[in-house]
Amino acid sequence: MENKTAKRINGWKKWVIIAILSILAGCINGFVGTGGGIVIVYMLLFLDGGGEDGTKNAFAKTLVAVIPMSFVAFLVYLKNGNVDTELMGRVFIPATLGGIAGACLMYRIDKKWLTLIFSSLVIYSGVTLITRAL
Amino acid sequence: MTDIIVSFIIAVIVGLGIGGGGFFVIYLTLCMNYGQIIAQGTNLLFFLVSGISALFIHIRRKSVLSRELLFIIAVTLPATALGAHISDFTDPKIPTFFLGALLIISGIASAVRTVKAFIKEKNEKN
Repeated sequence: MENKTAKRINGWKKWVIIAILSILAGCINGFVGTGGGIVIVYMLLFLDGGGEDGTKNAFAKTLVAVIPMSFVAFLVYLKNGNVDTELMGRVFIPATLGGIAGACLMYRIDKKWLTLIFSSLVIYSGVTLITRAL
Repeated sequence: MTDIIVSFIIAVIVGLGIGGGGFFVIYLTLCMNYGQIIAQGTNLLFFLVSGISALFIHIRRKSVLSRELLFIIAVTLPATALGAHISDFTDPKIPTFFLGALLIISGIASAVRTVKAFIKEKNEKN
């Protein structure tokens, strides 16, 4: 199904969709400090097609796109005094090691159950944040 | 010590690519009582550290750069700067609400996608 979609959207239409969704992803990432990757990963899955390899490739590509985005947003937040660099000094090493461990595990494990558990956690966190904001 | 354990676990989730980008904001705001905007800024730095580490592993495994990806990066950068500027003079409740909604949508989308994969796998086996 995904491959049919990928074949149907080609040429200028594909670039317009990419441009619109990329602007949306950038605005979200800057405004909320995260979340741009969600838009990009679904856009890539929609345009490139699925499959286990396609999904892993889309996640890796999304990471490549989100890092420069996060860097630009980080510079703006830092300029406005909205970054706790002291805390980051404490968690720098575990964050680095954790990132490497997660990326290595990505190619070795079946993530379906993990994804389901974390999806539930994400939904719960979202509800908690909305309740707090209201 | 809690910071170290939690940050390691969240970084693993970031590296796995199963939607861990927002967990550090949640930890900082709900468990550490950080303000929303400073939690977002700190999360960005956290994501850069854990994401770059994960990226090295992905790049070693396969070539991920493409024409589309370079275009995405070029378009997202100014939009990101704009979004980040706007967040600085917005009522913090707005990004909190927005993040909450985003998490619910992505959580549901991710769960639906996984359940579909389960069903597909089961049908292929039968």
